[in-house]
Amino acid sequence: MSIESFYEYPAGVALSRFLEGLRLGRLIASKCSACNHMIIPPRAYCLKCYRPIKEYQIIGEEGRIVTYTRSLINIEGKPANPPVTWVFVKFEGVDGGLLHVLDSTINPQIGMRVRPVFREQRIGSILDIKWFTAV
Amino acid sequence: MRKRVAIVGAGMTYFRSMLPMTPQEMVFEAARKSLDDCGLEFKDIDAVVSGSAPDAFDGYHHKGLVGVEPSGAYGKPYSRVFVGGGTGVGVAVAGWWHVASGAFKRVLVVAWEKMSHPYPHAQPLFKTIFDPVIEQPLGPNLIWIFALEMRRYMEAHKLSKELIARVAVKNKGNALDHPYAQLGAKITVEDVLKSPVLVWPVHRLDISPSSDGAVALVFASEEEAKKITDTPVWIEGVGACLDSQFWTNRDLAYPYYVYLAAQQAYKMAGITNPLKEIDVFEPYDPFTYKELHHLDALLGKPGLAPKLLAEGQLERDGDYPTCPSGGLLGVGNPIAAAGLMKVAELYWQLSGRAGKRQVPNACVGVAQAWGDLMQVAQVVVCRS
Repeated sequence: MSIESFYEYPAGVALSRFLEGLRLGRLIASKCSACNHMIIPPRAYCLKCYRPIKEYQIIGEEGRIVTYTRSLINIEGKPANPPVTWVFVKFEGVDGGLLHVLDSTINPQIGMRVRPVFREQRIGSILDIKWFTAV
Repeated sequence: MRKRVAIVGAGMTYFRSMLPMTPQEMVFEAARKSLDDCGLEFKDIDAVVSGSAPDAFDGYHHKGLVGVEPSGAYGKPYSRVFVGGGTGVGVAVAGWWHVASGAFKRVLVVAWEKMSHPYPHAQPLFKTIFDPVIEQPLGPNLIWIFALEMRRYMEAHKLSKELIARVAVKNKGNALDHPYAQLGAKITVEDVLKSPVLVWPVHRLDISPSSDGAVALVFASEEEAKKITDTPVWIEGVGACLDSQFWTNRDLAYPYYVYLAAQQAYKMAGITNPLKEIDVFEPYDPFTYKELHHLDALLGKPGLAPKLLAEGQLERDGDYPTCPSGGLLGVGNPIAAAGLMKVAELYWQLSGRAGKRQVPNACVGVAQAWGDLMQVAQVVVCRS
């Protein structure tokens, strides 16, 4: 059988701030006004003290690679050409982190310092970041 | 006052890549065998607890209904438990609540999965588990989550792919002695490393297969268990724990949530030193490194499992037999059924019915499953 259906997802209060930040070429985290805990991607509630989030803050765009992988297959299980390098990047003083693609010319290392490369045309999407590249 | 709960019967179907049976037929076969194992009939069962993973595999929703007729649940309380890949052990934990609460005396616990319905493969269905706003646009596949975690785990303990590959060699070898296994095989570390790299560092032979299959267990209260069998296996502890669904918020090198779930179960069972007190370990092994990752947490010692593996201690005749069944890598991975297979293995091992797989003098065992968005831990501790 096949199912034809369409879905529309609102980004919500917190992620809308994040996506608007990407459109402007910035990384936005949420900051708890009660306990100062910061997290990216931002949440509408604090994961430490469970109070509503009222502040959003631009963070420094330089992060470090926590782990990485190189996918030789695509979602259909067919060879990915070229292979894609995925990275998990954490930012100093901010909880959470971002999953994204790494510049294909870079040989990844755990702990390597990286920054996002924004596209010229941005629409408010995670794909406004082209990829991360070495600092 | 909590009631004691025993496993008194077990049954399962073959695990295969494409069983020519409907889900109803698989559930019936497993349920019938579990009741025959302990001499009960469907009419003797007070309630049924069922488990099956995502509806997307079948392409129809509320598929819990599929299990009602073949498990004889008409006219009885019936529920479907769902915690993703953790469902198989989660359904045993929920079955335990039913009896431990004193509400029911004899409960049928059944789990099934039919992963061969979607074609060409079930794998693309997993893309819908990712966050639709910030992850799906990147085009992730399921394996890369595991690849990122495996890489982090290797870094934390300086592990080689050669060592991790030994989990596949061990489990597929153990599965040769499991009569229902899909992928029992005598392979070498070299075979694993020469199999295609799918998402580095994960090779094809590091991954369990997709499978069809069903498993059923019969649970009974202490009073009933003593009437039914001379070899009850007691569920002495259960634990369940969650971590953040956002895996950017988890410690990728150590599944702390598995540790917490295990500690809940050990506390209930009076176990203070799992390394000394547990005879059989069945950690969840959908990928080679996951067996070690989970065993670290079951033992409460990050990095210990790979050392025990290197020393040969995790073999069936080692000091810490791990996945003597053959695990998901060897027996197969029909998601919910695979987890319950691990609890069934404890029943067979601890009641002395594991045949060629028997671990000598096995009295205490732990089974664990993991899943959802890779942050659910479900743990059961049994004693004969």
